[in-house]
Amino acid sequence: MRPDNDVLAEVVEMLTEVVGEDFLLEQEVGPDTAFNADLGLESIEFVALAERLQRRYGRRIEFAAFIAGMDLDQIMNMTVGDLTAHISARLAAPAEDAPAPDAAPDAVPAPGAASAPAAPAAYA
Amino acid sequence: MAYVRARGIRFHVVDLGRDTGRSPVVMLHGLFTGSAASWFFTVAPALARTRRVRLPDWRGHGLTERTPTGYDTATMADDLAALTADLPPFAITGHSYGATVAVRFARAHPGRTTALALVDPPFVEADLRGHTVPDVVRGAVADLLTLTSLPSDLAAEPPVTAAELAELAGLPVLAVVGSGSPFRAAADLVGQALPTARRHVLTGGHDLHITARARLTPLLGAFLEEAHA
Repeated sequence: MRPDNDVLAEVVEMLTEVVGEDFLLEQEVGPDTAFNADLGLESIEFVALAERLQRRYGRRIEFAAFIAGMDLDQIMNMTVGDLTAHISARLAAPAEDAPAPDAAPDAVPAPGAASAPAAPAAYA
Repeated sequence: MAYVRARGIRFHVVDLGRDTGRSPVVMLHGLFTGSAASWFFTVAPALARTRRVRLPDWRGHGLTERTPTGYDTATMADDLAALTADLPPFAITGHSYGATVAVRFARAHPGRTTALALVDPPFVEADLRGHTVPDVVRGAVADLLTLTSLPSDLAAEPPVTAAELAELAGLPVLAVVGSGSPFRAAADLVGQALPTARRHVLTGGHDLHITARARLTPLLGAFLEEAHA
């Protein structure tokens, strides 16, 4: 398990991949930074961040379940700290709670012709 | 899955949930401000608890490449076929223009669709005064309007008719419309064409996945279960 600060640094790094370094240079991103109000993160960019989170941490972070339990106002007002707290809690959860990242179907490209390797930097 | 090259275009597709023996559901967003995020932050996470869910970004939307042309429903139904080629037969939930493409896809690929949920489908002539897009249209939406054939494709698109819907007899169909939507009468059209189709009016406008999320989510979940889809 990682200390919260490591998770924060990793989330900021993934955020940078999604929105671009130039954009984030002007922002001091901390736990109180709101994705929408402070960063102006568009909803589809948030989806792209969620995909990176899943690739990094595996299914055990259960991002979809996290979202399903929130109302739309809570989602709209989510802060970086809300997200890192969830990730830290999931990473600290007992391993039998969820499969390891390597066993996660979504963590690898789907088999077959329709699959393609992820292109993490392409939209940075 | 994140990015998929199909038909010469780089598409962005989000997969949620896992294979459970139930049919997957493919959720199709509407035009302009719609994207995979429309479902990702609303209904999809709850459905993904029990089945695989796929959320494509249409061409020109979300993180999928913007093409100059190809925004007619026939081309987009072919896009959908390419983006779902690896799936077993699946249910479709389509919002707005996504519902129109869903109907065209289901007719073109009869064995591929197990159930069809139409969320505020734009199947009727609507008085759109008071429902126009904001004055300040920026970014991707402005690009779609000015740099692509989408506006003319949309204008040239033949509306879904009762006769066309009647061809879907035998397929479980659900139509959900907003009480304040300009397309509310689409539920009546669906009912005329398909008397066994389930129909619901929810309090809300056109974007029911947002304005009526709490009621739409269990409605779609129950429909998918009942349809054995």
